[in-house]
Amino acid sequence: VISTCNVAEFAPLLKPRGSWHCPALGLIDSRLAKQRVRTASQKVSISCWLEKSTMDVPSQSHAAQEWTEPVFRVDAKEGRNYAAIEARSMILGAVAFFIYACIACRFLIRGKWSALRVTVTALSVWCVSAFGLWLVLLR
Amino acid sequence: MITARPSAIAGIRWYEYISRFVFGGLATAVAGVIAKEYGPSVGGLFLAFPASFPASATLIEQHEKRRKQGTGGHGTLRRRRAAALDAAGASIGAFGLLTFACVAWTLMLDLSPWATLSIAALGWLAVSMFAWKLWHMF
Repeated sequence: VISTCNVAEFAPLLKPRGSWHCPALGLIDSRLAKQRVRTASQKVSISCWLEKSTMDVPSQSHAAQEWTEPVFRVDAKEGRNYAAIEARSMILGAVAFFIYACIACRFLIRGKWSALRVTVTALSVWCVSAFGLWLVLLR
Repeated sequence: MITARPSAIAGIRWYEYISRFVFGGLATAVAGVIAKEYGPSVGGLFLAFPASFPASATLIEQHEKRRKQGTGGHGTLRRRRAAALDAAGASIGAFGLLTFACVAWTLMLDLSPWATLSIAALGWLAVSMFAWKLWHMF
C-alpha cells in the first residue's frame, strides 16, 4: 500500500497544509490521520500496524515519522511503567509471602490444625502484612 | 545438589493438577481484576499471593496420609511435618520471588519486557537455589 502512496508523485495535490493525497484513500488530513492512528494504537498493535501502513506516507517523510512514532513509543512506555509499578508492589507482596510461609511452617510443626486450615487461616496474615507494608511504604 | 524426580509425577492424580491450576488461575484473574479496579500498585501485591500453596500443602499432607495408611499407621505428625517442610521451602522461594520483583522493577523501563522477564527469572532461579543451599548448610 505504501508503494502506491508516493508523495512526490502527488505533490501538486497537496493543497491544504498538513495533509496528503493518497490514490487509495483520497485526501488525508494530518490531524485526522494522527487521531486515527492514536485510537488504533490504543486497541491492538496489529491494527496499529495496519492503520499506519495504509495511511502513512512513504518512509522518507520525516513529518510522517514525527506524528506516528512517538505515539507508539508513548504507548510502549506506558505499558512498561504499569509493569514496573506492579513489580514494585510485588516486592512487598513477596515480603508478605515470606512472613506467611514462616508462620504457616511454624503452625504446621507446633499446632494441631490440618494443613488446609493452617494455610487458609494464614492467608489473613498475608493480607495484613501486604496491605500494611503497602500503606506504610507505597501509599 | 537440586535434582528433578520425574517419577514423582506418576504419583500425582489428575484432580490434584486441576486444583493447582484452578487456584493459580483464579488468583491471577483476581489480581488482574483488582489491578484494573484499584490500579497496578494494589494489583501488584497479588502477584505474590500464595494462591496455590494451600492446595499444594493439603495435597502433600494427603499423600503422606495415604502412604502411612499403607503401612498401618496414622502418620499425623509425619504428614503435618511434610506440609511444614513444603512451607519452609516456600519461605526460601520467597527470596527468589523478591529477587524477581526487584529485577523486574529495576530493569523494566530500560530493557524490553522479554529481556527483563528472562533476567528476572534467571535471578529467581539463582537466588532460590543459593538460599536452598544455605539452608542445607546451616
